[in-house]
Amino acid sequence: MSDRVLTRRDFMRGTVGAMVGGSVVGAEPLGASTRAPRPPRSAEVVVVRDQKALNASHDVDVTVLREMLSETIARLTGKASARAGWQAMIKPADLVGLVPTDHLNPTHDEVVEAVRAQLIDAGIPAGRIKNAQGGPDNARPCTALIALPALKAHWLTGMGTVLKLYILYSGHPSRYHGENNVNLGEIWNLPDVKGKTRLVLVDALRPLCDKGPQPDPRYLWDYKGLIAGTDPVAVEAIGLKIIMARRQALRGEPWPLSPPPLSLAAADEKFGLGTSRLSEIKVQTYGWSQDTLL
Amino acid sequence: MDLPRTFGPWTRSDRSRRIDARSIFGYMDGAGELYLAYGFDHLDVVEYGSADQGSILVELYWMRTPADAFGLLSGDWGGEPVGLQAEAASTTSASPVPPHRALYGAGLLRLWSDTLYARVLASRETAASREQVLAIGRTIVAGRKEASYPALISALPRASGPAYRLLPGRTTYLRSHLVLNSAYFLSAENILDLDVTSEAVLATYESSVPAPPRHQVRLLLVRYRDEATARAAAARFRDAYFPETRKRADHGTGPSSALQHVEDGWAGYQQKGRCLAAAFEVQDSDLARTFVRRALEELARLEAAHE
Repeated sequence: MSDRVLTRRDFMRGTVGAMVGGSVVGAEPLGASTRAPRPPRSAEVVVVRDQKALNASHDVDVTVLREMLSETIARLTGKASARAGWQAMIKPADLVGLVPTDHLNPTHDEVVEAVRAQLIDAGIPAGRIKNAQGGPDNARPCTALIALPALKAHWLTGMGTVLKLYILYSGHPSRYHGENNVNLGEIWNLPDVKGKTRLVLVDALRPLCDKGPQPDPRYLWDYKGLIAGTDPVAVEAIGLKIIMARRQALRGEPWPLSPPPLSLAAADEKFGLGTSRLSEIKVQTYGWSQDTLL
Repeated sequence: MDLPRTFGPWTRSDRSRRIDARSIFGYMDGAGELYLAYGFDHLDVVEYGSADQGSILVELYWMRTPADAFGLLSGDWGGEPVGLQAEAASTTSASPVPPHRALYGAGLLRLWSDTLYARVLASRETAASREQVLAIGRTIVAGRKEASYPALISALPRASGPAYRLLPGRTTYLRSHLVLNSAYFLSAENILDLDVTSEAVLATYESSVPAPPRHQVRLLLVRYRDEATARAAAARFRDAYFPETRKRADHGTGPSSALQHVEDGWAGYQQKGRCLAAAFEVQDSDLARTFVRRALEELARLEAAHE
């Protein structure tokens, strides 16, 4: 992506990434093949859902959630158990920072606590697990970060999920508001952050598909899922796909996401964080299959 | 505004919060920009709690003008219209915007009353919480005057060409490119130089050809604080969105207008005085010219009437 002024016309030409372009126009852009050249990448994303994860009042069934988390970790790591999966990702010597969305449609506390409990079960001392959301001082001492964002659309940035999660680590969040949100991916390459994220686990129990981050219950729905991967861009791309599909289902016609999540293509093509190309992402889905939106 | 202490089983906490432009990001990180994109004065927050039926959050956004409060409601005309008091006489079924001043959906009531925009949100939607959310809404608007919608809205042609009609539920009033982009993405940057001293309205027109998918055209009207600002904005817009026309314009009319076939159809704009009209996704050049011309005629009428 170049630094010149991006307009709607660039998206129509498909020069900003097919996934992002599609979010603007509601369909595949005209020239999706004209994206910036780069070496091929690959990523794997696991989606686990359970119809019983939430009750009719949208309260979390903690027992069901723990089982979903166990399956997610085992499937993602290819290990026989969640414990073995966690042990492959995190070592007892690590200082682990859990990074949830803490404000306006936050990550469910139950998700954060389930992760903490499984880490302890996997042999990580409780004292070496902390909530690391906040300024760069919170990330600095951590040797491992677990990103725990909630899935939501965002009225300023298109998506307000994975890539935006670390905005406070920049120390200057206002620099990433407005048009500069395209550069959210660079935060993941800051010295206090780079290379530390061992897992991206998205709370998709009850996502928000429009008007975020302020809660508007008309756009919340019970997806009852967890989305996980180690490539933050790929996980964001799958979250975006789900959000866009939900929007189309609500309106009965394409309902473009506006503004487009500029940071997604930039995280791929400008900052090299991972892949936003669906052709390079292998998605595995498990559990409740109704309205998977994938 | 002094709200009653109780609504049914919900009781207000003694403490209410006053949020201003400096503290709004502490209250709603990532959402405060929406309110600052209009003329925001301050926000009062009151929370009602109950023993076992969840909470009701009341947010009262005090804006500088009725137009600013209207703009916030116009960002989303979805939801169930609810009558909290008699609808204003100026809003009719032929209006370019829906006549509603309060909309309810899934536990959230949004309303516009003069310079006030309010959100009343039940944490759990039940018949009881809906009843009290609406009761709070009625209390908020009681005795308040009903302002007319912004005059700029009336400059929207009701129809354009023989086969296009305005969709009132898709009309958004705004002052900021951030809000414009959340309704219709044009550019990552502020290529129309919008700010709180300007006002704009984005409208959608749909083809009446019966076969789906029905074609839609977007029309954007902008009124700047003065002609010099409008002229500079038109030049920037031309350079960013219609760079192909720059050479032509340098030898002709300057940056005050452009018409070009772009990736998603014909697009064009014209600036006249302190006003600018732009049309997007139009099927042919004649229709694009018609949209812009008719909008400018209406804007000229508005300016002549000093509205």
